[in-house]
Amino acid sequence: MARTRNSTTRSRQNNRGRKKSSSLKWILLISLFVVLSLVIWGVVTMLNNNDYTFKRSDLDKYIEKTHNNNLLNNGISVYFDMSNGMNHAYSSVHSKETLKSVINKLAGNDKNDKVDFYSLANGRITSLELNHKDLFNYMIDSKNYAQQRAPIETTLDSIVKKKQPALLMTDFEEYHDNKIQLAAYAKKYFIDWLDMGYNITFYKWTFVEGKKNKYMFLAVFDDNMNSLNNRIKEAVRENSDIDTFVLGSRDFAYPTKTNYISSKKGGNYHNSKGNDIVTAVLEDGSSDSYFCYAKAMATAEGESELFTPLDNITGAFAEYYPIGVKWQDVIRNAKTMQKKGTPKADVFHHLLSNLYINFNKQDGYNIKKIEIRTFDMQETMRTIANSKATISFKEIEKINKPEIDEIFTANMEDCRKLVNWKHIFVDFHNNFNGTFIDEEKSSNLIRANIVISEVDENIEKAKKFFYWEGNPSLFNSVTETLQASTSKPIGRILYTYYVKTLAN
Amino acid sequence: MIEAYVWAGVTMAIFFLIAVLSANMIIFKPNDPGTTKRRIWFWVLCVLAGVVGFLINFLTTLDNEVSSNKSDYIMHSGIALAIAILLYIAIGFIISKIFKNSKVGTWF
Repeated sequence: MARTRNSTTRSRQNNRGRKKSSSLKWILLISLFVVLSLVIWGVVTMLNNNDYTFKRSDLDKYIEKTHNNNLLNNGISVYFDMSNGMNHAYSSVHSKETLKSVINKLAGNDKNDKVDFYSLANGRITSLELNHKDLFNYMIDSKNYAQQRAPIETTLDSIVKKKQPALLMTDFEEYHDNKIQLAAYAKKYFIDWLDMGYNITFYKWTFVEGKKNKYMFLAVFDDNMNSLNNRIKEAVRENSDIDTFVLGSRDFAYPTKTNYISSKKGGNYHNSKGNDIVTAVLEDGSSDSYFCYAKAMATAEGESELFTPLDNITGAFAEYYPIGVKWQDVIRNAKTMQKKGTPKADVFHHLLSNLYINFNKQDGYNIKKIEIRTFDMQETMRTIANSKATISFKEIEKINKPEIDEIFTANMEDCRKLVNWKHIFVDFHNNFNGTFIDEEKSSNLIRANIVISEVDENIEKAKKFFYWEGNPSLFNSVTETLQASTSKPIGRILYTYYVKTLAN
Repeated sequence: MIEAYVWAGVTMAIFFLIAVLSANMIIFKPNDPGTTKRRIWFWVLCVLAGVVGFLINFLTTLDNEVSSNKSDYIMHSGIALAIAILLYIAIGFIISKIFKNSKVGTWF
């Protein structure tokens, strides 16, 4: 249809005008929006850069700084009770062979392996300068047992003060003014030795003195490395008449091991294909993936896969688990893998498991219960990341580590396949639904310690071993040592799991 | 999770381009302006954009064994599907009104 020129021109002119001003408005609006977004983005990025991002190397530093070993000084002291009560201690064939074996194991081999021998008699500790051949003959010659009063209490005092591995061979009969000391004279020294974090292993056989049955003790004072104790253990191995009682300290090295499906994977859930589809722990061997700080080594007895006792070379009893999903999703996934119809090999049982500890290598305590205690490590990790390499253990310990309640629980059960060993596993607490009160904290590094929470003293066992008619002093000393609060291993950390979710 | 939206967005953009192309390929005939055909193409490609986008996202979840990740991703794919379809229609409407006198102008 034709239009008149005027109206077209006018409307076109008007339209052109309107379009121009409205498009200008749009351009201004859009540019304002773009500038604003850039500003907001810039501010947000700057704020985020001040936030600390956890790296596993920070945890490595923390473990290296806080891991302490507690070892005795170098050198070995051996004390022989030469009082006349010991005259028949080495009379049987078995005991002679054991004595020979012990002396051979202790024979000074080189300058670095200094063994000092002492005799105890007449209230004095006297140095014995004999080579091991002469030493054996000296020990089985009854002429040398003419004296009395072996100063056992003084010897114990000396052992505690010297802080070296020591072997005390005696019947533990202490005399005081020509009368047998019936009080628990040894308890103070046993308690002090254990309080320092060291152990006492008693090897015992029976001998007859006149009409009496008496006990002959080899009391080995040593630390968790057992440099002296292992030699004595070897020496007495052939003798089947020897009983053992291990009086372990709070820090006693309970044999610990794990049974994981590979060296790159931990105790988290794995399905039948070996994949973790519940916690999605990062297991690809990268620098931020799962890491086990404990190192497995074969022990002196040839048992493999045991973690050696704590010392600087082999590492701490700890593992790091970087979880790939949020905590709420872990709970969801766990429920999914527990539904009816899931194949048996894929069913979810525990959050963390396959940790085994043998509490029966010491005889003083019956470990009844363990618990798990959880702490927030964010502040500690941030401080370590920002600190210099010279930050001290004390400074690290001062940092606030708030305890987190009701997130995990830990239990132990007997092991069908490994007698004496307990299987330890970790689950979520019933009240934990995956959310934290402060949502920011949900991705912090969490430290979960498996600790001993309840023990019983094995008084009956101690009685069977140490008690004999007419002199309960040793039994009483051991009993009081077991009952001392510094000896009980309650609160002792057995293993540590460091857990963090990488999803935010 | 952003990948779900990326895949849905890319699929939507591709299908939208196909729609524009197809609209331009249908020529004006004297008796038949081709409006209906263009509209049919527009809406069919709209549905396809959503469905194909969702399928691509779903296929990538098949090798993910962690069930929480899987279900979260599928949820995001569903949201992305809805957003993609809405965007397709909105952009189609805007472009159709801006280029009123061209072939795509006949969509709405």
